[in-house]
Amino acid sequence: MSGIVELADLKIIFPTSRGDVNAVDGVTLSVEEGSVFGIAGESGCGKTTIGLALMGIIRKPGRSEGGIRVNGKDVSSMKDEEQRLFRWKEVSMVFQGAMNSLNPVKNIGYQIAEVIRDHSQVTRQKSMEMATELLKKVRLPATILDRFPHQLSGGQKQRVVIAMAIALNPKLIIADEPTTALDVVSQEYVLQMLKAVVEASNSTVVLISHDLSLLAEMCDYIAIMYLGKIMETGRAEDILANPSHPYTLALLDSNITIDKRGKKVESIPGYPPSPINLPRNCRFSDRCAFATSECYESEPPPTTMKDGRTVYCYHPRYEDGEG
Amino acid sequence: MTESRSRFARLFHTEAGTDTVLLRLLHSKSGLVGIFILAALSAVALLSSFIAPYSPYAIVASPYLPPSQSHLLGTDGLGRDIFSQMIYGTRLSLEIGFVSAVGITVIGTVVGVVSGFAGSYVDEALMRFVDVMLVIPSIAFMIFVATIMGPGVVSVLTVIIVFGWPPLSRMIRSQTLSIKRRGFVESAVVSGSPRYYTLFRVILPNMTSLIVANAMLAVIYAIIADASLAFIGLASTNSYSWGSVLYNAQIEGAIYHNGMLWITLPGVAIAITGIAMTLIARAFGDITDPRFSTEGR
Amino acid sequence: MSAYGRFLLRRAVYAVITFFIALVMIFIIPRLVAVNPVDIIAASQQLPPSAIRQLTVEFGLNKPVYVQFLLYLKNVILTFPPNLGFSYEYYPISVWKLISISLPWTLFLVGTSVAISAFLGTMMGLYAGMNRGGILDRMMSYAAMTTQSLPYFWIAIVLQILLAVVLRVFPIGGAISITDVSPPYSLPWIQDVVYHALLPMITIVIATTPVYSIIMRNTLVDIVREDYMVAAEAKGLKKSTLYNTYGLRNGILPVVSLIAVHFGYVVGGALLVEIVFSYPGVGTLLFNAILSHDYPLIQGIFFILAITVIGANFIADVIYSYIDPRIRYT
Repeated sequence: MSGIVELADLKIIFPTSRGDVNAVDGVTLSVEEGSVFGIAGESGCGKTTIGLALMGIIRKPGRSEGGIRVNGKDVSSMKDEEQRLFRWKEVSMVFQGAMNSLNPVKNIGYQIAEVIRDHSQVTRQKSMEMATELLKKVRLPATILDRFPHQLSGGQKQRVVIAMAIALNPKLIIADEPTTALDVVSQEYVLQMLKAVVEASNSTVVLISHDLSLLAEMCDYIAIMYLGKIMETGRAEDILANPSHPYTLALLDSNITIDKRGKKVESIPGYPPSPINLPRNCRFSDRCAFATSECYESEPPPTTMKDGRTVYCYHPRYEDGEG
Repeated sequence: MTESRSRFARLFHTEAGTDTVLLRLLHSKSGLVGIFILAALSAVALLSSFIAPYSPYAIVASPYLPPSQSHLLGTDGLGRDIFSQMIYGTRLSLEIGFVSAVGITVIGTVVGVVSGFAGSYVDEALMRFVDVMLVIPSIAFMIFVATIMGPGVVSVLTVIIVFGWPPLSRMIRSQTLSIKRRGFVESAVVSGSPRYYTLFRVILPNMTSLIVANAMLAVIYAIIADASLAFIGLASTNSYSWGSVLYNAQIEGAIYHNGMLWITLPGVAIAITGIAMTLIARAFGDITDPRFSTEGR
Repeated sequence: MSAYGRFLLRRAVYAVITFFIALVMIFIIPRLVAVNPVDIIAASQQLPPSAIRQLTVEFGLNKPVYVQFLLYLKNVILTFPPNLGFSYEYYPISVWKLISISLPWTLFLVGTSVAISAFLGTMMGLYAGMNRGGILDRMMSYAAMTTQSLPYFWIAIVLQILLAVVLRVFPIGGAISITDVSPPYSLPWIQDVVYHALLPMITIVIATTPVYSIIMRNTLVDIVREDYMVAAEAKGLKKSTLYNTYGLRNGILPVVSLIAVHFGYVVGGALLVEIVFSYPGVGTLLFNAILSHDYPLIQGIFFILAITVIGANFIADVIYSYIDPRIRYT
């Protein structure tokens, strides 16, 4: 069965004066319809680039290789107008709303109504009514319609952004670090809101975050990325309970959570190598505690484990799962 | 991302940075064209007494002669050789351009750096003053001041410099502020380096290309300002710049005396100089701020 | 008072201060450089001693400088119309009278041309900035380089030779035909005025459009990097929405204030263009005043220019704050 998102050896390359940067370097994954799929990793590992690529946005002079199919459509070969209508109608995105993803010179009502009107033949009046309804869904009062982005708090802006994402009932919602820029209290509130909205809408969600505890709470499936490549992917509970790739292990150790109070937080030794002209071996080998000569020579092929997860490692840590 | 990282690398290592800037200038095709034109103009200016066939002030033929072999651009209303006036004009125009550019650059840089570096009330006072200077219609005031000082090179230079530095100082100030906020400057300050060390060894060297690029643009600003002043009769009457040749052409009715070349060439000369300076400035500018390059990267 | 009100008040105070400094300069520069304006007049006009004495009293030069300055302020600010003295050349016509005849021509010429070139420049800059590296972007960059390397008035001269002298499609100069006897503001009169104004206007538009378009383009280069532009693209908005409510509405803000900053440059250039076309505006008046050493007239013209440009800047500030919700609703 093919999923709503199908990536086949996807590469996204940004040429620079010092060589090509492979922001995404051969990612293959499938997202099951109706699920919540998490993409985790450090900043700069290519997770946001994948999120934008799912909507067909690759900023110039970048280019992509390999296949991107979303909702059965080949995203990279769409014509302009077809692509425009595909965006938001079929795939929408929750941006880091507390950052400046809202147009600073237009009020909120206008901005929500604008996206509705650009995708369907509705009157101005009708689109404003729909905007009010959407705000109600994220529990914001109608007075917000007349406000400008700079007059809202981070949490309010984030809820506006969520309301916008569900405006056209898309099949797929990409949430890119939806709570990162918020304070802890609004984080929890916005998260519950996102959860409720997602459950009500039956949309598939791709949740991009560096925060493993957030992913654990929200996701059915998860992919751990490092330097443009997937290290490990499978059911979220399996991977987070019993990490198999040394990188996942290290990532979990470096994550700070309440229940780890009193325990020492480990950081991952070393720095990620430059994404320019990556060596053709395991890219985590330099920082890996379990690396052997094999790891320095060639890139590990995908291994499927008993519980269904896929690991790209010669020495998976969770042997029980091995098939 | 990597782009800005490599720019930072250049800014961190000033010595290497200057080398790279010069190297890039020579590697940029348009920069080279600019340097070549400037060199040719400078040669004409330096050798003007050898190149010009006549004295520009001497009456050598009948008035209003059309262009011919002996008078390439014809003669003016008194029978003086216009070609020789253009050649000598090159010298005075370039002199005015470069001398003013030095004045503008020095004042603009000092005010900008002091304002950005000192901050607080010094900054406030200087920038309020600059705001006032920017709003005052500069060409008009230049005309006003030059009228009162009387025609001549000194008054032309004075007004050009006095009204030329404010925009530069604003630019230098914001650049100083942005350099001041970078990690390596903050660390120099925190680690207790003397202020003058930070200023002369860290901040100024990191603005070299910005300053040079704007000095180039100041040259053309000054040449145009000189031409404008000359055009309303405020240049010195006993020396020739391109502007005064143009003024004479207009005043003596060149249009009605087959003087098409006479009246158009001074402008062409100014435009060529301007394009050369802009090309050089851009070669620098692209290096300091590649964002504004039109070359799709 | 609201933050918006405070903003407007602050800009108004700046405008008044700037105007005051300009007044001080207009008053003090002749005295700084030449010590005594009467001496300059006397030298240029070869006046008899009795006339010099009379002028000294008329200028109030027998009084201390600060009294002179207060008198000057009283004459130009507290009096309406401002008492700017009498022209030497056109005596006994007052300076104010001469300026009030020529100023409308300049305002008509500059106002219309700036409106046209600001519109054209903004649109071109918007398109070039949204399509960076495209054909228009490159062409515009060369056009701006060329026009900024040229004296403004030289473009006027070349157009005059080409279109008025050689091809004879436009009049060589002036604002109305000498033969035109139709009553002012009648249709033939308006046609004649527009016909005469076209060439000077084309000059100003050619010279200033690239300036505006480059400002807009460079602003857009920064704006297209903003998160909200990526978001707008992701929302699958129509191209017209992207250009209008994103590019234009955000890019126009810095452009309005920069247009104001460049207004002095535009007016200065327009004065010289008027001279080329003998257009009966303030520029030509100034040129003649300089030729005839008519100092009160020169001083009066700068007074008016300072008011006009500073006033235009203030209006631009008001427009800016009105269209930027971050200032208007805080």
